[in-house]
Amino acid sequence: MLSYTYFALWVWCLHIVAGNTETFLVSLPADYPIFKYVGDVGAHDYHVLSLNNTNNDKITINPIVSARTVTHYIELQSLKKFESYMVKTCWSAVSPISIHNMDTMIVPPLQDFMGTTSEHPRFFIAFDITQDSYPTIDMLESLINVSVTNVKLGIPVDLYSTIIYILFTCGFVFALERYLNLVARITTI
Amino acid sequence: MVFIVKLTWFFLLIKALQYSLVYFSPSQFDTSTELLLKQLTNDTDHQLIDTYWNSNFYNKLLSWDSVFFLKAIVHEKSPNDIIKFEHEYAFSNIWSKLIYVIDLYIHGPLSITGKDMDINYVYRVIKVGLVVGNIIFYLSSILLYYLTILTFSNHSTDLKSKKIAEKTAFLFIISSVSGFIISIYSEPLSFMFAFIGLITRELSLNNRDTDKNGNTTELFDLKLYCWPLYVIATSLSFIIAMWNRTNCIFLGIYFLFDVFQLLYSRKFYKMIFFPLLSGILLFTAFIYKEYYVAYYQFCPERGEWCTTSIIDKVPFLTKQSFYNFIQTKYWNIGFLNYWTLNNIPNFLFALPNIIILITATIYFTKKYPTRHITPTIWITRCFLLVLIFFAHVQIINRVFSFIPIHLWFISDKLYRNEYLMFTKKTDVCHEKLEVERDGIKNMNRFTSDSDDKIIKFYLYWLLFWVPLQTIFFASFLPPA
Repeated sequence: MLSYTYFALWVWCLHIVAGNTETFLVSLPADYPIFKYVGDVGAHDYHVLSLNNTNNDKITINPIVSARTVTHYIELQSLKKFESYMVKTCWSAVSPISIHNMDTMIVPPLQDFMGTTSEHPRFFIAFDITQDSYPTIDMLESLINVSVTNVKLGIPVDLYSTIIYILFTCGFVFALERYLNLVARITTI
Repeated sequence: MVFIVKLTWFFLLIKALQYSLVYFSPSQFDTSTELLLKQLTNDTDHQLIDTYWNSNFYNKLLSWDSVFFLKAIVHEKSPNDIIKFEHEYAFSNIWSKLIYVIDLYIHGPLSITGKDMDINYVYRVIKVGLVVGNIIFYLSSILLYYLTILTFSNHSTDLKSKKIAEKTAFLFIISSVSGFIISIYSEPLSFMFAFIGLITRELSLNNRDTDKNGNTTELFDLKLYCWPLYVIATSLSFIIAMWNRTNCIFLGIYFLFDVFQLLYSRKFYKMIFFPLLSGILLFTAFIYKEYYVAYYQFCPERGEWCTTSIIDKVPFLTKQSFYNFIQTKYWNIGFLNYWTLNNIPNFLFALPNIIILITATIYFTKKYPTRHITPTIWITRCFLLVLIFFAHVQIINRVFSFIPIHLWFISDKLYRNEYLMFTKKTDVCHEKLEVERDGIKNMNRFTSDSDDKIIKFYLYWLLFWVPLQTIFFASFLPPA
């Protein structure tokens, strides 16, 4: 019982994980049209994450962060309606940056965005990157992993293996305690 | 000797289990380890980062604070090429220097520096850090054994203190800090020096006076010939522990306690030349590191913290220490700052240790008052208040490792229970044993079952928590 309570707390904790990871949940609006991604919008300066035939995707971006806040855009493609996705940004704790104002935006069809247009609406995530330590560097090179993962039953699918592993370990410890009386052995050392 | 062999096997078994859990953990939630390794080295095509053992084992050990320690070690090697940012000064440079020097001694210098840092060097220092951390952890459990004997031998028979010490040493290996000492964390260095300092202090104390008839009375005094042991060894150990982890400044409460005790018994010269002098040394070392060095490294260019001097003629004496400043700025440390709804899980993660520590202080003050442990109780209370109201409370699971009061409480209570069971079952009427038994019976009138329930709950929690924390760490998952 104790372990299950702790496990539930830990799952909750995932949503508030601080430090050098930021996460947020996204889903397509109900009136978002269904179409097949075929178009080429031409050369563009933003990155794309696509869930075509997969339930998670990851890219590494290399933004140059100056003293001013930089807004970064990433297009999410092949998302499904009525599904939730977790967007996760990870950067090394030794990179003195912070990511905030994570949000989504929809670019309507045929509207110009960063020099590109498309006949379909486009779904973007946007976030601000700022330097967050002293000394401030003029042109700070940083590396950020951005990933999008399908969320099933409230849990991102890339965590399923870890959760199964944790449950298996708890079960193993429970069985050991039951058959070997570990706590009793510890107390009689 | 048998005990040391048993302890060694136990330590190796626990570590083998923990590292097996690391090896089999499937993935990392936070994917930044590869970015760290890329940034520290020139392995852009991931050839060495992704080798079998690196991706399945060593990379999983680079979570949370270990990232800062790794960068600090690499920074030690090429300080001109790698920028060290302000917030990184929150992490011990003694620990990183130690690993750097040991690696240098074992492997010799490496010619590649800066951005062309060899990936082999990075993995080399990770391995050195792991071995050093674990050796220090193991040695600390033996030191804790001796410290416990010294602490309890003033109040009980040799047999009892040895039994309590054995239990304490075993419990220490599976204590809540254990889930973090699978990587290059700085805690082992601090608790080792804290234990060394406490041992040298204990050796300097004279707690008993025996008259001509062989009757002993309890007193508090310091042995004059132990001046170097107390003032040099204890102070130096506490200073190293404090320089490594600032929270060890609480060890100064031992000196404060000794000052009051000697004042009370009107031993003024001893008070000045023993604890007062030691306390001044510790305090000066604290001011030097947290104010003087930091001020002249960053000020006046830094602004902000630099402009908060209290006295113009002593500009480095600012309103808050540098450590406090960066903790507030980058980790939002401050009074009740952590008391938000989304931090409830973190408070619950910390709850078992909060409960056991509070119970331990009550046990040693109300149920079995032990003057000898009084300063440890003061430290526990002060540190608990700081952690609960000012800090990220879940770090209690590792930062309390230099204060073994909860382990002493569990061991002492378990010993008493065992002894009672033993005396009920046997008719042994050895004179010495009867005296001990009477003593135990008298003391046990005040025991309550709640202590046993708390201990049982805590041990069950540890049984699950240590492997879980190991997996969380390997998977780069909270709590940190």
